[in-house]
Amino acid sequence: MNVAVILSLLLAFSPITFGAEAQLPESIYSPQFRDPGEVDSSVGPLMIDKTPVTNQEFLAFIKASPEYSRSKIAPLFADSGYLTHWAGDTKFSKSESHFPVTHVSWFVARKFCAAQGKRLPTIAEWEVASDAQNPASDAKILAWYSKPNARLRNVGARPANKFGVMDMHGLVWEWVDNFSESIMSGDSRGGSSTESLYCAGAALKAKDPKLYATFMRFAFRSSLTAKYTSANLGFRCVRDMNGDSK
Amino acid sequence: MKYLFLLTMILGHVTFAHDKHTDSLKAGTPLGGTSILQLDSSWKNQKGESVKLTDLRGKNRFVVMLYTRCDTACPLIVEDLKGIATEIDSKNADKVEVSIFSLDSLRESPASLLAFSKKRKLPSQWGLLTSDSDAVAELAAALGVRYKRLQNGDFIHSNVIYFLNKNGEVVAQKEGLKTPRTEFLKQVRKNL
Amino acid sequence: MKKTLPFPIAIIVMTLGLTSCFDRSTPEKWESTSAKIADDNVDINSLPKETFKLVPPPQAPPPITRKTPARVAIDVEVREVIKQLSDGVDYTYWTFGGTVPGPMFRVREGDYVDFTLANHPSNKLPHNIDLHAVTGQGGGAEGSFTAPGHKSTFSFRALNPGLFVYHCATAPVGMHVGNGMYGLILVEPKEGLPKVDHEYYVVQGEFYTKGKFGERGLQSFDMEKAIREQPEYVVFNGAVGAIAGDKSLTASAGQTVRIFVGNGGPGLISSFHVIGEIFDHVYQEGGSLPNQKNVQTTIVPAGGAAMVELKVDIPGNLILVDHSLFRAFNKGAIGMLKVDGKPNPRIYTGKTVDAIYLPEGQAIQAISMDQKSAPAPTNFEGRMKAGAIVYNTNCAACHQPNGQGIPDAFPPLAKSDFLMADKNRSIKIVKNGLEGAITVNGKTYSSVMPSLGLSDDDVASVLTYVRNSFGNKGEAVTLDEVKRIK
Repeated sequence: MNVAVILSLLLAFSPITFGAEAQLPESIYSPQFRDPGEVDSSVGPLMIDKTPVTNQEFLAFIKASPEYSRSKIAPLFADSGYLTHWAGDTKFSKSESHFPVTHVSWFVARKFCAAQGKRLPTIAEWEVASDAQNPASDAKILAWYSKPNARLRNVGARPANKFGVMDMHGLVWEWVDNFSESIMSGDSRGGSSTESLYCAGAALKAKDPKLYATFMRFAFRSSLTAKYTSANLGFRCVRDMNGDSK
Repeated sequence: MKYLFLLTMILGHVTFAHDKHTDSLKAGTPLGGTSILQLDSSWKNQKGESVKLTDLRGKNRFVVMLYTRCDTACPLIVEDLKGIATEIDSKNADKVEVSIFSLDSLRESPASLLAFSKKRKLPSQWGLLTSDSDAVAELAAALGVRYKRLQNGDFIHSNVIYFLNKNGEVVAQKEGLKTPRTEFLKQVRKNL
Repeated sequence: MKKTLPFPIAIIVMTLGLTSCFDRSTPEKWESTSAKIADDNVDINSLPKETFKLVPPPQAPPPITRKTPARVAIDVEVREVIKQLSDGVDYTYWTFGGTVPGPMFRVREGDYVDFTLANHPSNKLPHNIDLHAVTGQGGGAEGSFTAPGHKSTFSFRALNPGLFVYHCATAPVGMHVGNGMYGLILVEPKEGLPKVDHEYYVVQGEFYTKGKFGERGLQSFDMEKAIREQPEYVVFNGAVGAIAGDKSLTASAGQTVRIFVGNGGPGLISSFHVIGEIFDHVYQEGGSLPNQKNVQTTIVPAGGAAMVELKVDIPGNLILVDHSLFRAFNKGAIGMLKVDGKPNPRIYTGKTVDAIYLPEGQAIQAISMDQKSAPAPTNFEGRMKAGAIVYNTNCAACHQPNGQGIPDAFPPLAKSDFLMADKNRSIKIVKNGLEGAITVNGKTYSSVMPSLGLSDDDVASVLTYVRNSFGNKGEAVTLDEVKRIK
């Protein structure tokens, strides 16, 4: 236990090895919200970034692909909040170099991952890797969710979970590739309004209605659109084990 | 220090606000800021021909995303689309093209698209298109279509008919299967 | 194979059926106020436009003076903010407009409302709104689901008059409501409401904190307690003391007061009572009919409302409570309406006689003597023991078992400068009660302490006890000292 504390303290104050990945072994995903007839599925094995992508790492991508810089990006790919926390196209406060990059859209996150030969995780992969299925983590996560405007900090400063992955909870929300599958109607109390909107309209039945943190993650994802950016939303990438993205 | 930071933030905002035009990703006049054609993906139509999104530039267009194995809502949305297209075309010399994109990157093929077109008696000039999962995901995201592949292979997806202008920007949409057409048609006509 | 009824029986049945048809008078036509407006052909686009001005609780927006419908724009922002829940206790509130309850909305029957909900970019979560006044999907929740840094607009026609709750309806709904996302919207009937001198806006709600009541620091939401419906705090307007002390509601004797009462819940039903007064009219459950008069305590359902009107006849401090008393005295469901003016002994005198009571008849005396415990020994330990009993029986309800008092309502005895400064004064107060403002440990209290009718002996015991407990260091109080004070 002490070793973990010391290590994380070291990590907080030393240059972290970026691009570090952890392995997610083949695991069962037991969805919180099941479509009718949906059974458990499996995810992995795959490599997942240990920490969210940082401002520093993102800068390298922008320099290589200037069409995604703040002044040049098409409104199709990101809303007007894109990288507002940066001082310019390629400038941000030095103290934020190792903060998770925020104010990025789904389109741009995908492009970043693709440029590294990776991709965004799916909901299933993210939920499993975050150890969210563990009811014990739910209460802790709920405590973070209820605090507004928590300040960002360097990635990798807190202990890793059982997969060796850090900062899945308590730092920023993270993009997932299929966020649009969090199909909740705007009013999550009744399903009938989705009937005409959705083909084979699925009723969202929560497996364990007491996993409120999970509930809130799904609610948050269902409020997103692909070009959306936010102060509390970043991302990380995953890589299939044979080396290239699916 | 804080003041300087704030100042640069404000200046950064102002510069960004003024310059929203994209660099042309290809040679030629740049597309508008929200044109979905910027996605630049490649698709195959019901005739097996390769179609790039940028090829669709230049014509007003109705766009719908569905999958041909769908038995329930998709036929309804197609009928709705047929009715709308007829109404518009009968009063306008400048015809509006129709493009139907498949959500089902795994099982759709030019052949299945063609079979669907025949079964639903769609006008032969309508384009039905299929591509890989990345292209589908990006197009759906750009339009705002939400979809999910179920384990049995069916999809749940939003039912929306989009109207795009000649530059590929969405200017009107009709949501749901039961909403009346009048508002949508009014918007469409304004943009012809 | 079904058997048909035998013929004679069938005839009888048929006749009965027919006669009962003829006997029943034709049912009344269904009265639906909403249908009348829903079917009118008002041209929405030609309605005059207005922007609704928000005011913070406990203020109510002013009465509507126009006599025709308008198109009203209501804009409200959702903010997740840390504010004080009680003395030394902070809480992360999720709010409409930065307050709990959110601002009160006021429109007129038949108005067309363009409602815009903005979700501040620093918020973590999506939010929406369900206004119980809205006829439409989810009460507006569907049309207003908004991610942080975005805003949504939807419109609705106010079809029904009445006082309605609004609240956030994003999953998990109980948590959003439990964090303070509720308020009231009044849809005035066409003819308006009768004029009153004061209107106030009070909404009860519970808070389920991880720490116990009064535990200091930033408290977080406890889902387990919420599910069990066991809150630590039950308060008016979002915090202990929000409408007490110097934040009390005010009026003058002889004036009329209307209180728009809401109950955001999320769990409990409120038994709303104003100590020292009676409601002249109650619009039960916030309906548009003042259907009851002369009511002491009215039920306000969770997710419901009530409108009460009263003429405050005499000066005094009227205490607003949820009459489930442990909520009032142990969880914070207490507020105050201070009425100034000239006392009127023809209505209420206060105590006029304080005399010795000596029951007649030896037998009676004997019984009471038996029931009474042996006179307290006058040594220090004896006084402490007896005093503890007297305290817990008579004083702890207000001053609390640990002498902490209730912030803004009942002063603490623990380490109390006021108590310890003057022994004779403290004797006088316990014997005669006290009214008016006092300052204890730097805070002002303007409550009423009744005279409890204790015997001089009990007064000596209880004062010995309190002056030597809760961190106070004093000395014993003797029976002689007590007897000397009148």
